[in-house]
Amino acid sequence: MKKYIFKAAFVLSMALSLVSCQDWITAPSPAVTKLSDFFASGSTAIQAVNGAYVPLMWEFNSTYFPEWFIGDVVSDDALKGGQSIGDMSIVYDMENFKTATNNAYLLDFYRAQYIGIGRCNLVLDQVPGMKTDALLTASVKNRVIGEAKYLRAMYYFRLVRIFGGVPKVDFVVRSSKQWVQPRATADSINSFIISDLKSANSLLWKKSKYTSGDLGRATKGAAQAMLLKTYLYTKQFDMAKSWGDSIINSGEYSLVTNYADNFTLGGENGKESIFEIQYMAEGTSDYGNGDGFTRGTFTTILTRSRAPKVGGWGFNKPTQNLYNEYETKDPRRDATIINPTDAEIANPAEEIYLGCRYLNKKYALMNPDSTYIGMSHPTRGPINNKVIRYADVLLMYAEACCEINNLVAAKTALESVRSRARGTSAILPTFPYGTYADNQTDLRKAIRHERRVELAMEGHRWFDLVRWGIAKETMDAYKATETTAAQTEMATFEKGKHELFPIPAAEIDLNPMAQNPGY
Amino acid sequence: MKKTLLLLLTFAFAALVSAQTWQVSGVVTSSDDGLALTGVSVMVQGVSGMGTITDIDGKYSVKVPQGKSIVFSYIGYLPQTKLINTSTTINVVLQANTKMLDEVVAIGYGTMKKSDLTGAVTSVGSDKIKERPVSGIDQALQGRAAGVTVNSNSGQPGASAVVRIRGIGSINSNSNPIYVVDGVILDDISFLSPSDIATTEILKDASATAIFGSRGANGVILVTTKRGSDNPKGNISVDSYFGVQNRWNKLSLMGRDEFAKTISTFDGSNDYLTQYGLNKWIEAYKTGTKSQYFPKIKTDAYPQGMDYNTVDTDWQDAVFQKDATIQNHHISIDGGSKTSNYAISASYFDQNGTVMGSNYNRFTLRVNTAHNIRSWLKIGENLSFMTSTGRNAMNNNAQPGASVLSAALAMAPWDPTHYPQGAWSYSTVAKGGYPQGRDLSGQISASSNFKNVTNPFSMVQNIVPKDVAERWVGDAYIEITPIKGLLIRSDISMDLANVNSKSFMYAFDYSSFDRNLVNHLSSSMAKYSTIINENTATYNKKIGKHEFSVLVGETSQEFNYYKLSGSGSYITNPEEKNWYLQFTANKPTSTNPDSVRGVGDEVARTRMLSLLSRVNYKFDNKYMITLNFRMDGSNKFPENPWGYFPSVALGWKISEEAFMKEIQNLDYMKLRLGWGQIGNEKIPSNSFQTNMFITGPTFSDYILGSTQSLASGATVLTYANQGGKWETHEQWNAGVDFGFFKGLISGTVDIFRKDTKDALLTVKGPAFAGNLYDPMKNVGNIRNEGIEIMLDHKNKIGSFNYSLSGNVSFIRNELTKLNGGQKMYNGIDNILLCDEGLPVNTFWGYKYLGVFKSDAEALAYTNKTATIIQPGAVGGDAKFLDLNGDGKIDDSDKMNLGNPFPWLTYGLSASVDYKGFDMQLFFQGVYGNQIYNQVRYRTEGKGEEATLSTAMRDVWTTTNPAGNIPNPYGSTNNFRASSRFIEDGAYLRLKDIQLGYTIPKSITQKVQINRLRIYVSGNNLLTFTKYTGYDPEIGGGIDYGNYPQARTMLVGVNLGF
Repeated sequence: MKKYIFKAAFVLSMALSLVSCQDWITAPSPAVTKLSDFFASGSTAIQAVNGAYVPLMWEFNSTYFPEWFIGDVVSDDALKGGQSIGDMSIVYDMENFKTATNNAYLLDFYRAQYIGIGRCNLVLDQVPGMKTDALLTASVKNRVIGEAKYLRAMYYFRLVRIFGGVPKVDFVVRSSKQWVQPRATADSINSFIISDLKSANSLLWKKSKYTSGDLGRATKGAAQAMLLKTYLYTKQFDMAKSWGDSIINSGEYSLVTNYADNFTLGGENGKESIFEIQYMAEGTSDYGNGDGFTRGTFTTILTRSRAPKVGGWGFNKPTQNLYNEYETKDPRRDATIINPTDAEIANPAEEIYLGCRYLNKKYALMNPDSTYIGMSHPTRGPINNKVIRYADVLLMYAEACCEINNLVAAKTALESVRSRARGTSAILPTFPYGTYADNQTDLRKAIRHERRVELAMEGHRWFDLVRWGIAKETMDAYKATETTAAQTEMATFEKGKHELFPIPAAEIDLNPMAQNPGY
Repeated sequence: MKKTLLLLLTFAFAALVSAQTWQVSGVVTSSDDGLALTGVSVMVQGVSGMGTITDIDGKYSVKVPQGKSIVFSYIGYLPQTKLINTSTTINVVLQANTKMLDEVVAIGYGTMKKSDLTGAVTSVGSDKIKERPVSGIDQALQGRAAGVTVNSNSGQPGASAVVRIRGIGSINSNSNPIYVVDGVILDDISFLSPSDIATTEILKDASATAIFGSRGANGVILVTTKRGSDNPKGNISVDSYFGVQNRWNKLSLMGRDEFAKTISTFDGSNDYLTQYGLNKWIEAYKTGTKSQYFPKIKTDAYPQGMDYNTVDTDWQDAVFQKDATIQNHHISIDGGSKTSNYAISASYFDQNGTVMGSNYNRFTLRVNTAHNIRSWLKIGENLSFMTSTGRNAMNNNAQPGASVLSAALAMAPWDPTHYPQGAWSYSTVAKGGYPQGRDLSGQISASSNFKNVTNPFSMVQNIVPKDVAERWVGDAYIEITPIKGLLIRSDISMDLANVNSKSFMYAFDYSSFDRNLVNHLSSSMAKYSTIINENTATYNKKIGKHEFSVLVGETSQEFNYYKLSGSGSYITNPEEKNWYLQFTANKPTSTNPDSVRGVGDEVARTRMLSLLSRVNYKFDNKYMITLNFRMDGSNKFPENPWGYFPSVALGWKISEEAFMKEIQNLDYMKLRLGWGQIGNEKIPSNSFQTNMFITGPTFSDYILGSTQSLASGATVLTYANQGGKWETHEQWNAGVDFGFFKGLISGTVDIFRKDTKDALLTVKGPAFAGNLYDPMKNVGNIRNEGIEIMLDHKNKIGSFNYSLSGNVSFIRNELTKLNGGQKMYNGIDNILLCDEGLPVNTFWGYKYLGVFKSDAEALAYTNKTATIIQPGAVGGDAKFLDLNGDGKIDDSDKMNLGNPFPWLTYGLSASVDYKGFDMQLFFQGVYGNQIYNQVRYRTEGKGEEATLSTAMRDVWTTTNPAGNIPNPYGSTNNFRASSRFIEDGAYLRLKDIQLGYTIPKSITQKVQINRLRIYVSGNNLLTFTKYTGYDPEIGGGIDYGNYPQARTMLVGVNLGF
C-alpha cells in the first residue's frame, strides 16, 4: 500500500512537471523572430516591403542572368558574346532557339520572381491589418500596400511575358498542402496584373512626394506606366492611351536633355526615370553563399570588353544589324555601341564573337571620355537597371495612339523622343521622313524603328518583337544578315513555339502543369 | 578417527575463544599462465566487510570465522568457494571464465547480466579499443562489431570517423549514434582517450536503445571508463607508444617531360615540345594566352629568366611528409577503500600528418570517484578535461584548391614549389592587370600555370589557423536506497566546450589568384554547453522464480551555443604576438580604405524533456521480457512537441530447458525477439518555425535614396511547413546467442529490419511557395535490413593460447517511399541520388561504354530504328548506353551505377600467446560499395586541372586511335556523370599487426613492476583493393582527393605497478 502511494505520488508529480514543462519546451529560441511576433510596429511594415524589392535585383543563383539575356540577346539586337560559344552555353541555347526544358537560368529566374511574389504576399497578408502609428501613417500604410501590389504585378509581368500563364498565387503559402496550384492562363495573369496595378495606382505616392531618401520606391507614375505597358501587351490600346495620358499630364516626368546622361551614375533616378532596379557601389558586395545576391549588378562586368586592360566578360554584343538600324549620325548609336578599333582588340580570338566586335556601352559604366570607371568591387557594379524610362512611355503612348489611329498624338510623342535625340543639330528629320510616308502603316514602322534605337540594349527588343507578332519574319531576316559563323549556330524560329520559353521542367515536376506548346 | 578428534578439538577451541577464527593464507594464480593474480577479492561469505585482496605476488592472508567459506573472485575468472575449517594454506588456481556470459553490462540507466539481455547488444573490450594507434574510440571500433560500419573519413590527424549502426536511417537529419560515457549523453566523444575506456557496449536494436529515446534512434555506444578499485595500495599503469607514419600509396602521375609532351600532342598538334624544348614550348603556350602566371622564360634575350628545364617537381612528394610522428602516453592510477574509490588518468596524444600542414595534439585528464557515505547513500562524480589543438590540411570537396593534396595535384611538374633565386619577374603589368609570376628571392611560386589554384605551400605558410578547443565533461550523482531494492538516483551532467579559433593570413601576392593584399585576422570564441538532469528510480525484486526490475525516470536537457567572432586587417607589425584584433586598423584611411573591424555573434538553443520507464521481468531464469515506454518532448516541433515511443523484447534461455540438456556440447543458447519505436529529432532547431529574416543586407536589404544606401528589410526566407512531427524509427530484431564445446565456440546471430517513417527531409516546394531555402517535411520511408554474425573461437593447447574472432554484417538500405517528397541529388554533377526504390545516395548516371575509335564508329552507334544515338559524336568521344533505346542520350538513360555504402562489412582478428609472447592480427574490410573517383576526372582531363595520370598514355588521339580513354578535348559529355569514374570500393586491409612480449613477472617483480609488456605494431601494412585512388577508406562515396590513411609503425610499452 505504502509503495502504491509512493508510486501514485511519483506519477502525479511527473504529470504536474509535464504541464509546466510544456512551456519550457516551447519557449521561443533566442535571437529568433517568429513571424507572428514581427509585425508589431510601423517600421516593420516598411522593412517587409523593402524586402519585397530585393528579388528584382537578383541575377539569380550562382549564375549571372539579368533579364536582358532574353530581351537583347535572344532578339536581333545582340549576340550572347563571352569567351566562346560554350561560355554560358544555356544562354547560347536560348539565343539560338535551342532552349531545353531544364535550362537552369530560366529555372532560377522563374523561382526568383516567385520569391518576390511571396514577399509581396507576406506584406499584403500582414500590413492591411496593422494599426497605424507615427511612422506608419495612413498614407504610408497605403503606400506600402501599393508598393507590394506594384511589385507583385512587376514579378508576374516578368513571368508572363517569358513563360505565358503561370500559377496565380496571391496568398502566403504556409503549408505543403498548398503546394499544388493550377497553371493560370496568360489572360488571367494579365488581368491580375492590371487589377494589382490599378490598386497600386490609387495607393501609391507621386514621385515628387517622396523625400530624396525614398527615391527608388515604386510610384504612382510607375504603376501607370506599367498599366500602359500591360494594356499595350494585351492590345487594349484605348486603355493604354488613357494611362499614357495620365503620366504625360502628371507633369512628373520629362526627357533629359542629353540622351547619354540616362546611363551615367549621375543620371540615376532622374526626371526621365520612372522605375529603376537600384544597385550601389560596395566593395564587400557579396555572393551570399554563392547564390549571387548582392548590392551591385553583374551587368557591367558581363558587358564590358574582354580586353585584358578592361577585364570584362564581353557578353551582350550588339549586332551589325542593330548598328545598321541607326540613321546616319544618330548620336544614340555611339552612346549605345562601342566599336573598338583594331588596336584596342588585344586578343581577337576572345574579343570577337562569331565575327561581332561591338560592345554594349549603356551599362559599361564609362566616363564621358570613354575611359572605364573603376569599380570598388571586382565584379559587381553600381549602375541601376533602367526598367522604365519616360522615353519608353512616350513611345508606348505613340504606339497606342497609332493603333487607335490617333496619328497626331502619336507623331507628337514620337517627335518628342526624336527631337531630344537629335539635340540642337538637325540630324534626325521629323516624321514623315525617308521611306516612311505619312500614314498609319508607316508611322507604326517608324515608331517601331524608334523604339529599337532609343531603347536598344535595355532589354526590350525581344518582348516587343513577340508582342508585335513579327518575331519570325524579323528573326529570319536578321539571320540572313549575320556572319556565316553566327548563322551556323542559329536554329530557325518556329511560330507558335519560340514566342515563349518552356516552363522549367523541374517546376512541372513539383507542380504538375501543362508545358508550353512545342517543348 | 584422527579427523574426528581434530574436529572436536576445534569446536572446543571455538567455544573457548569468543572470536574463534582461522587464519588462512595462500597464493592465487591464474589457470592461463600460472602467474600470480593481483587484486583478487578474497571475501568471507555472508560476513560483510570481512576479506581482503591478493597482493602483488598473488598472496593473501585472511581471518575466517568458523564454519564460513571464503570466495575468491576476479573479473574474467570463475569464482571459487572454499569451506574453511582450519587455519591453513590454500593455494587457488582460478579458472578463466571462457563463457563470460555473466559479466554485467551497462544497458543505460542501469546494468544487467549479459545472459539476461533481450536486446541486440555487442560488447567490445578495452584491449581491442587500445590496440590501434588512433585518437578516438570511433576509429577504434572499426571492424570490431557486427552491424557497426565505421568509415575513417580521412587520414587527417584528429579526424573523427563516420559511424553508422545498422545502416543509414535518415537522410537530411544526422545519422550518427550517440555516446554515453558513464551515463553522460554526448554527441562527440573526441575528448576521451581510448586508453581510459574499460568497456564499450553497442546498443543496436530498438529495445536496447529505447531507454535513450530519441537520442538513441541511430544506435547508442555506451562507454564505461575505468573505475577505482578497493585496492588501498592502488594500481599504477603506464601505456605509451611512439611511431612513425608514411603514405602507403601514391598516384601514378606523369613527370614533367611526359606531361608536357602529352598535352602538346592533344588536339592533334605537332609535337612542339620535342622540336623546340620545354622553355620554347611554355613560351608558345603562354603566348597562346593559356596562362598569365608564367614568369619570364629564360631565352637569349632574357638570360635571367626562368629555366623550366631545371624544374621537375613531384608535387606528391613535395606535400607528403616522410616519417610523420605519432605518440601517445597515458598514465592512470586507481585504488580506494571499501567506502571510497578513485581513478585518475592523464594522457597526451600527438600526431603529425602525412600531408604537410596537418597535425593534432590532445591532452586529457580524467577523474572518477565514488563514495559510500552511508549504507543507503552513495555519491560520485566523473570529470574529464581535454584540450586540443590541430590543423587540418584537407577537406574532401569538389574545389581543386580545397585542400593541400588536391592543390598539389593541380600544380604542374614544371611549377617549382619556390622560384629559384634571381628569376626574372614582372613587377606589375598595365593598369588594371595583375602581377604575373614574380619573385627574385626564392619565395613561393605562383599558383599553377594551368589552373587557378593556390600553391599548397602558400596555403600552409600564409594562412595560419590556430584552433584551441577546451572541453569539460562531467557529472555528479547521488544514489539513495531508502528501502531494499529501491534505488533513487539523481544526476546532473554537463558538457562544456570552448573553441577559440584564430586565423591569421599574411599579406602576400604571388598571382592574381593566389594573393592577399592586406594581412587579415579573424578570431572567434564559441561556447557549447549541454546540461542534462536525470532523475530515476529503480526497484528490483525477486519473489520466488519471479525477478523484476522497474525503472521510471525523467530527464531534461538544454543545449546552448554562443559564438562571438571578430575580424580585422592591417596589423602594422604582423608578428604572432600581435595577432589580436586590437592591433587591426579600425578606421578607414586613404591607404587602408577597407579597414573596418567586423564583429558578429551566433546563438542557438534546443531543449528536450522526457519521461521514461522500463520493466525487466524474468521467470525461472529462462524467460525474460523487457518493456520500455518513453515520452519525448522537443522544442523542434512547435505544433507536435510530444512523441510516444514503446518497445518490447522477449528472451528465452532455451538451453535451460530440460529438452535442450540432451544436446551434447551445447553450453548455452538464448533466443531474443524485439520490437520498438524510437523518435528522431536531429534536425536544426528552427526547422518547423517560420521566422523573419531581419539581419540583412544579403537577401533582404534594398537600396534607396538619391545617395543610394541600404534600407533595412525583413522577410521570410523559408516558410516552415506546418505540422512537422517526430521522425519514427521502428525496428524488429531477432537474435540468438550461443556457445558450444565448453567455450571453444561462441557467437551471436541477429537479423533486423529497421523502418524509418515520416523521415524528416528537406524538400523543395514549387517556386510559388516563395522559399529561398527549402523547408523540412515528414516525407520519406527508409528501410534498413540485415544480418549480423559474430563468431569467436578460443582454445588452449598447453601454454599456447589462441583465439579467433570474426564478425560480418550484411545490410540492405532502401528509400522505400518519398510520399510526395522530391528525389534529391547530391554530390558533384548530381552523381548521388535519393529516390524511391533505391538505396539512399545511389550513384546515378549514364553507363559508360568506352571510346568511339573513329567517326564512323560513332555514326554506326544507332538504335533499332537506325537513329544515331549520339549525333555529333566523333572519334575519341565517350560512348554511353542508350538505356531505353529511344535513340538519344538523355536523363531517362541514367541508371543505378552503384552504392557508396557497402552491403558487406567484416572484421577478422586473431591472437595467440605463448610463454609471454603475444601476437595480434586484425583485418577489416568492406565489399559491395562503389567510389566515384573524382580525382580521375581531373587527372584524365586536358591537363589543365591537374597533372595527368600515367593512365593517359592510353588516351585516344588521332595518332593513337586505339586509345581507351576519351579525348579530353572532345565532347564535354565525356566528363558527365557516368560510370566512367566509378570504381569498385571493396577493400581488405590488415589494420593492425602487433607482436608483444611480457617480461616474466619473476624478473619484473624484483623492481616492483607487476607487468611489463613491450610491443611493436604495424598499421595498414597491407591493403587489397582494386580502387585506384589514394585510399578506398573514404566517406560519402566521392573521392575528391581525400586524405589517405597512414601506414604506421610503432613501438609501445604497457607497464603496471
